[in-house]
Amino acid sequence: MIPEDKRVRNEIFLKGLFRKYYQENKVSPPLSIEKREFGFMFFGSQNMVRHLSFTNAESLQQFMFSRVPSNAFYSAAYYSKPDAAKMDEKGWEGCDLIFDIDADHLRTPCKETHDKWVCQNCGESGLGGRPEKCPRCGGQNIEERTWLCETCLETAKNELIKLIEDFLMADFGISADELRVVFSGHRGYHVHITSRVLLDLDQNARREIIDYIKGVGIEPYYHGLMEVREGRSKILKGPRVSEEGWRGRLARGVIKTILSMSEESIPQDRKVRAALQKLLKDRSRVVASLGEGIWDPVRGVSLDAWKYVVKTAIEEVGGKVDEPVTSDVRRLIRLPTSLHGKTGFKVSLVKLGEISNFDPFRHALAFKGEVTVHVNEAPRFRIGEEEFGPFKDEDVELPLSAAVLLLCKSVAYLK
Amino acid sequence: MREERSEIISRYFIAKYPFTVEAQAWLRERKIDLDFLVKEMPAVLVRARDRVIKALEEGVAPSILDDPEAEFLSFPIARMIVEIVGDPFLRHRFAVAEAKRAQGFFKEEDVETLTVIATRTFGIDCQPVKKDISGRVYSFKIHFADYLRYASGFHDPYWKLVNRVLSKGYVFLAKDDFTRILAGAVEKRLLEPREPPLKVPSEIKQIVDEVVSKVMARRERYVLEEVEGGEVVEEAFPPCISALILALRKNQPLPHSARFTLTSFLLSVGYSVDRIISLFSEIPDFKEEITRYQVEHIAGIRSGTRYTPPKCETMKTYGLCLFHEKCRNIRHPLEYYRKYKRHRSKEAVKLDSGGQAGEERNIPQGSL
Repeated sequence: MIPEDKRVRNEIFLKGLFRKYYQENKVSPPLSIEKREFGFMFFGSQNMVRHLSFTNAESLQQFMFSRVPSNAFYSAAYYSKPDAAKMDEKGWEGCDLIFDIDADHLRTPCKETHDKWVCQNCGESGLGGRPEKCPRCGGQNIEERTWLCETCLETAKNELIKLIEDFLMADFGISADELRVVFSGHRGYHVHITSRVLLDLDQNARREIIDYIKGVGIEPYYHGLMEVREGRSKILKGPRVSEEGWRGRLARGVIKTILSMSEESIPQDRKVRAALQKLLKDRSRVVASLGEGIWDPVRGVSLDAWKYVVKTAIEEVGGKVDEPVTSDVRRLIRLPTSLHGKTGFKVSLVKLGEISNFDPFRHALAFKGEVTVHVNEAPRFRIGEEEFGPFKDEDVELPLSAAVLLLCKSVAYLK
Repeated sequence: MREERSEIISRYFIAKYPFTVEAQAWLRERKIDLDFLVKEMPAVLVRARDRVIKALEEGVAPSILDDPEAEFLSFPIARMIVEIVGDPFLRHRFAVAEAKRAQGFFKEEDVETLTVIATRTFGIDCQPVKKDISGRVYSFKIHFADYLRYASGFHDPYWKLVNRVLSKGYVFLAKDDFTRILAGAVEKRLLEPREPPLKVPSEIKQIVDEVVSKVMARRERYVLEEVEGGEVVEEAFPPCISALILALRKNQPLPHSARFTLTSFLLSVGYSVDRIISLFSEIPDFKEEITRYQVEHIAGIRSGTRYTPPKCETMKTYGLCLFHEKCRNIRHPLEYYRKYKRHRSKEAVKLDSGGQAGEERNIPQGSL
């Protein structure tokens, strides 16, 4: 923990840096700024100040510079009265379609090494994701100290590319000029779609879009996986790899699953197990046959076993997007080009063609210079070309962006 | 000769599809006076009354096309009656009945006509196609946003977007499915409230009074009908619902989806509005007035639309499903309740009859 007086010094220092950033950099206003609700957090407070509005980009800039929020948000929704204090008085007119990919919700093995939890009741701590209850005292007030790591962000980026290429463009037909890709400044990416024809979609419709991307509620039967009578015998037919939408995706996913499946990963259920072992023995023939839409070149593989494979395949090829962000048509989202108060990184707009080269630890940095800080504890991390840490109770001179990250994460204080 | 033929076709067209822009334009051009219509065309008034009352009582009001003009003109009158009554329950029944009526005709129509209705009247982005996917013929493609506008309210997994062929922004649909979407568009359009006229001829006023009394009677019956019979068996509640009740008792904040699920479930199994309100009164930010409004809304007392709890699939999306062992093969929380409620009464029967489980055999397996 950082002592109170040092924390206040940190906040004053960070506020000064943020102010300088907003003095020198124009924030990029959202489309139809006058119809958006804004919300801000400020240094030294956990509360969000909501229901604010701006008539133009200049007044927003003026606000950022004079009030220096630690975090800035705006509504994905458009309102006739964005500053009305009650939601039902705002006059909802529509909402951008937003997708959120957050490393918090992705399974990455490295979390066990860089994420930490601390029980606020007894002080017990451990690595990895937060347990539901403290194993020592059973308390439920557990603080999570997440770290942003390259592996996590790389995984998120791969999911981002899958979301855009496989789903939004190929299936939903969204064109490049309708999408804005944003690095959140912390552990994930956002995609904003401002296409006119989608603005009025309600929660149900947006939830359907999410279910489509995640593969929730798929009935393989509707994509052609069924037993068909052929003469006196039954054969199992299924979709082909070249087909559109989920049909081809299912077939491709199943092939990928069969190719990557190992003896150890097969479930214990006896019937399914025996069937899958048969499948794996004849992998190459199975894969070739699947390409043709014939799903049972190997005898004795039941529909149940196939359903298990299909389920695994859906998890593999489905998108990993966060549901509430998309379906909530009144949510506030981070303002691109503002600073993220937990990292000091820039909430960065990423051009479509530059996603694969985008490096948050290089391209989202906002500060230049050096400063000496005392670090309580920090895992190894990279800023730009240089690697730092791990640190434990020591004074270090760091590039300003690295120091700001540690200060924002509350693991260091100014010397 | 040719013109006469197209005239006949269009008279039938507007009789079948009185909600289309073409029909509205025809009506405007003729400048038909309401008083004249009421006095000189009694058939129109009879059919208008028939449309509204059949919709209310039978849920459908089929067309007879002997007199296409009267058939057509009865539609704006019927709609006017519905608006003057101003009851959401009636409006809903009327919209559904008119949508069904139209869908019957849609099925006989060629793809071009359907496309014209979809694009011109409803602004649906769609095109006729000829596409064969594994032996199934798809005759239309429709933009996914338009598809969702109507189909996201259909509850069968068949209509879930994820079970559709979606490519480059368009969902492929067979003709039958397309007519269902189009009927959905008709329903939605007729659900939009409109301003009733200021002056109403006494002949119409008379019908309005008759409809009002029928609505009142029908509505009471409807609300009661939907409730599960018998006593409420709390032990038969599915795990997801029990968990929500427990959370509520522990004062844990529940998201909107959870509150909605709980309320609609409890109403369906026969809890009264007041009993539910008292359950919610335990939460810290409880405001009776707001809670009552919301519970009554879900109960259909305010709108006529009674909400049922979400199916298991939706519960999974909400993150409310507990994936309990006992839920295997269950698709809906109410299905679970019915199943285990019956289990319990079966056990009770066994006990009562001193171990002779004779009753059991009489219950067909399929009903469990």
